[in-house]
Amino acid sequence: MAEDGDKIICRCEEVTEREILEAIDEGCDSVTWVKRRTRAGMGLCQGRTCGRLVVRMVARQTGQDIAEILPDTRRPPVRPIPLDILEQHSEADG
Amino acid sequence: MTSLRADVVIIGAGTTGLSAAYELAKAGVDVMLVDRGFLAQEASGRNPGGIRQMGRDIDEVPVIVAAMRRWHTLEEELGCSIELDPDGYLWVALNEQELEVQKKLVERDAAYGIEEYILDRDELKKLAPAISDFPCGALYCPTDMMANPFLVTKGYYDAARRHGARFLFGTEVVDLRVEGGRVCGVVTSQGEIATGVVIDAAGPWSHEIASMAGVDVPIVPCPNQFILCEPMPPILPPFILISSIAVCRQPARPGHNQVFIGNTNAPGGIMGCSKATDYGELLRTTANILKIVPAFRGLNVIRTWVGILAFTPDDNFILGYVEQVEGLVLACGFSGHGFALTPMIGQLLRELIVDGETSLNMAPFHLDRFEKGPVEADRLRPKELHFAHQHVSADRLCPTD
Repeated sequence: MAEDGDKIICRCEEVTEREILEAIDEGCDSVTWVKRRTRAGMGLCQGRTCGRLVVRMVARQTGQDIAEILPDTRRPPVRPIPLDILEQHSEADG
Repeated sequence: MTSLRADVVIIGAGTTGLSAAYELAKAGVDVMLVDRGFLAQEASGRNPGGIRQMGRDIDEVPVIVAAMRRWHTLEEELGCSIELDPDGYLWVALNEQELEVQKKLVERDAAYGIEEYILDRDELKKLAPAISDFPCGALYCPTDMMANPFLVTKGYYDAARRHGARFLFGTEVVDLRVEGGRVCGVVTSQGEIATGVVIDAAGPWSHEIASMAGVDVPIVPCPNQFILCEPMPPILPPFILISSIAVCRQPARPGHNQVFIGNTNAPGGIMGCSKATDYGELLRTTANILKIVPAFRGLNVIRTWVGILAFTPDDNFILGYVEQVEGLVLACGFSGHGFALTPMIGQLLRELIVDGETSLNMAPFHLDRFEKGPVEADRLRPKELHFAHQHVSADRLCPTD
């Protein structure tokens, strides 16, 4: 049973609740800055799992209205694409 | 309307502006930094964190040599980790001409104490078996490094604040007030800041800022595409792999073995400030990197993003007071290789503003080098021994013999 604070929030990068709260206390008051400071959201699922949790933690710690907190920027690809598919397409286009 | 005052106003919260804020605040200067976004919103928050001595223009070499010394003590100085990895750089030569350029660089850089080696094809194969037979050799600099740009940024920011620097985020600069040929204020979306010195460190937008004071700064913005792939067990040594067509890195840190790929771009290629992922560039860069490291085939791309580079006509940065308007200092145009200079840029700006003279020769970096006419074609061409990002399309890759 995990001790309080050792709960994993970002499973892909194994970032704990404690690390995220520390980052928020240090001034990372947005999802993007929590990500940059702790790597939460930088992993394989790109924040699909932990994003909402981080939003809630930021809101709770900073007193911001949860509705005001933006998620991190969504960037392509929508889902992972293997590099060789891209390579095949580049050959097709000449 | 708020009315504020500062001795120095810095425009831009990238590594340039932040290191200047720290150095100036530490020297007792009342400094205020303004950014329309937050910390490291642009290039400083989108780059791979490379710190290379290799492949620099001769005028920049003393700057990078001095910067290296400061990088090694920066963690202690700022009181935080910056994940400094002294893993080196490997620049693969795609043809004999490139190898010849690299050999000249080794010879030239030896005088500055930079430790670099030429690897022939066999030596390259031994160092990195995962690299294909495409390159005919490489330039290897084992003392080049990497750092985490987010931690560097935050480190400088926290240290600057500890020394009393003030910050205005989410604040757009709309005008520079100039009276009697001298800067006297910065007009922002949150009011005017009275000041006698303005540092324009606004990256690709430095041109816009300077034009508010009637100064023309020749910056050409170009987008740089980045691709992040899922982790895989490391197959390359942890160096940054560069070539004239792509950049690639696989960190050795456990849990950080994601593969990172970037394209190369420069004026003459795609220009402008669009941050849209360019699929043509993605395809081209993928094809290019797989020619060099075929084992990455099958890896999944999980994210792409874009950072905007700020090029000048000779790919060297611009630093110094401008002649036309007293009190306006430029610190911009780092042409895609500024991160590595960060600790020295802040120091040089502090020396310039506080001491009135710099510890290194900044004459090659004056804005007026572009205005002195007649301009010799020579001075404006990217210098021969300069690893400027070369825009090379995949069909220009010639098989090596």
